[in-house]
Amino acid sequence: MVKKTDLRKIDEYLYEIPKEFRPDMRVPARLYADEAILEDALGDRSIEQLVNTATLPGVVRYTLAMPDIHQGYGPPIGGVIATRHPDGIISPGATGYDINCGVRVLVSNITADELRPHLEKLVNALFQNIPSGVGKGGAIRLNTKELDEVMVRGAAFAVERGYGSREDLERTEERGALAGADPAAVSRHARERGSPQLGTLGSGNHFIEVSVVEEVYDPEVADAWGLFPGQIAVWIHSGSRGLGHQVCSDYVRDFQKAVQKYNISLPDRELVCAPFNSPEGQAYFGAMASAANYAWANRQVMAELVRRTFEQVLAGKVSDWHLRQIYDVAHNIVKIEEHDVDGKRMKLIVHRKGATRAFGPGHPVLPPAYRDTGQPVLIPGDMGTGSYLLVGTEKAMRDAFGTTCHGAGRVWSRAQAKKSIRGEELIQQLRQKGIIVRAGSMAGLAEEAPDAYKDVDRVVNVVHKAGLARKVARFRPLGVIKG
Amino acid sequence: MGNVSNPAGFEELNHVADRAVHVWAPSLEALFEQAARAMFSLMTDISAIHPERRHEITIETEDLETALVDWLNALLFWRETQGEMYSDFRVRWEDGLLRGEFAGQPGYPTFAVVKAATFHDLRIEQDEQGLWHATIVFDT
Repeated sequence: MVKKTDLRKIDEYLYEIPKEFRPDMRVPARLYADEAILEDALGDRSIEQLVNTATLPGVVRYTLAMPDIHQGYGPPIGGVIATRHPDGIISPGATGYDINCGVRVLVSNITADELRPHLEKLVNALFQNIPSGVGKGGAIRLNTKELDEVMVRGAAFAVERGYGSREDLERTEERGALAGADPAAVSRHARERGSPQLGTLGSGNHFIEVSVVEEVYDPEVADAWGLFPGQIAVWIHSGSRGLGHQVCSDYVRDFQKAVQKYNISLPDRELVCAPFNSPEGQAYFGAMASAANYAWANRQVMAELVRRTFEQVLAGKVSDWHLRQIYDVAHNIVKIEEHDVDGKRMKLIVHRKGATRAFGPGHPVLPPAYRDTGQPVLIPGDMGTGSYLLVGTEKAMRDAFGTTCHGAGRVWSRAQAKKSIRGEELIQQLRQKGIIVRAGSMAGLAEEAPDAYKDVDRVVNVVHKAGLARKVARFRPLGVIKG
Repeated sequence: MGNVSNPAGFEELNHVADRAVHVWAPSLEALFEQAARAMFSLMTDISAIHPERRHEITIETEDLETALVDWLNALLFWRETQGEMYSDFRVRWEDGLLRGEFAGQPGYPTFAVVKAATFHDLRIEQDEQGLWHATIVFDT
């Protein structure tokens, strides 16, 4: 167990576990936290899991955990691991089962006042029109060739089928398609799971939320992005569905052998990995990128279903029902990126598991709309509290491989949440707060109770004050669709 | 097969992000069957499932832990692609291969989904009384 005295305080919101803490550490491990978050993290095994990530071959500078840190399997959730390209490791377990789980935000020109009379109808229609829950199939059935295309071209495939616009691609991380996808590295089982599920939300913590801009912190950036207080927005949180889960399961299993072959010793079998430039490493990267692209196509299809639902319910009733995409970010992914390490520009293999890219102003990969401001960073909170739009910073580039947190982070186990509140009760409580919830399963809903999560305000304040991203606006939920 | 008079069962453990179970049984075969029961119990009330559709799979075993993860993940694959929920499991070893039989019904209500069984903290051990134990963490 890691104790508080093992940590060195580097800054007001930054702690470091020095390399000397454990003989197998190759680099230090860092955690962004305030006192309370640190105490929570010391209460379970998340910091030990963070230390484990610092043992991986090829890891550079330090591994990181964000203030939404919580215990995972393998690395902690809220973790960043960057290894040297091309011979550092790539790890499926350090990327996670829901490859390219991520968030997309669309904004409208409707105000909350305008929407209020139609809100219930809108939430019901969204629940009806967007397949959610366990085992629900999507509207698009893909044949083998089409599934290959989805895995290579990502969101662009959906746009060409009439789901959304070119402008959406412009406002999606990687333009909705990660290079290097290799559908041949995706198993038959993964394909079978993925082919009927495109355009489905899934269950668990995935959601679609209608929310309102409650507060603007940075008027200049908000203005540049077309945000204003009282504005209605839609948040979509989902991932690569069964296809991504199967890709991760397949490679975590196959890599058990790779670890022996490349003589890598690990503190946890779930951290299995292989050198990026090995045949195993390349196969996983190709499969992971395929699943990531599937996830972007998935959110692209759902965004269009949301737009069609807005039209269905609101056309003729409000002045302008159109939805414009702000951005779409991945928070479980591996990327090849360039960063400065000890004054030297290096190509790195960056694993973000429950962490969001937060590139600052001027970064060449950002679209013109965000080049001057830095990229939008989308941080969903729990369904009773709120979500944040942040902007990436130079400091994140300098200190955190261009990364910030991804959400609130859990404090309760799912079992504990379910014991503490029933789904029906939760719906009533949220209704009293003015939030309409539609869920496929009451027991599943209870697991996602707001009390099961850390205070998102607190998590965001840490990254804001630490300079890893700056607050732009806070959103309050009005209607939530859960699987 | 193990001694049927020995207890077998499972309990859910506290795990913040995901779900974990401790499973025990008098034989390895029964342990694998209990693990499957535990996993499906995280997703639904399995007591009323009609075992009307039966399937059989074969898994090449490398080590016990990998065999257990493979078995559970294979069941998740079948659940998702067939739209069925399972409650009845039989496991036997033959010539170094795991042969698993499972049965359930389609369209059974499910309240949560398990995405995968992980290798995290996974250990299969036998205690002094001869009971087999496993702790399994699931991604949910």
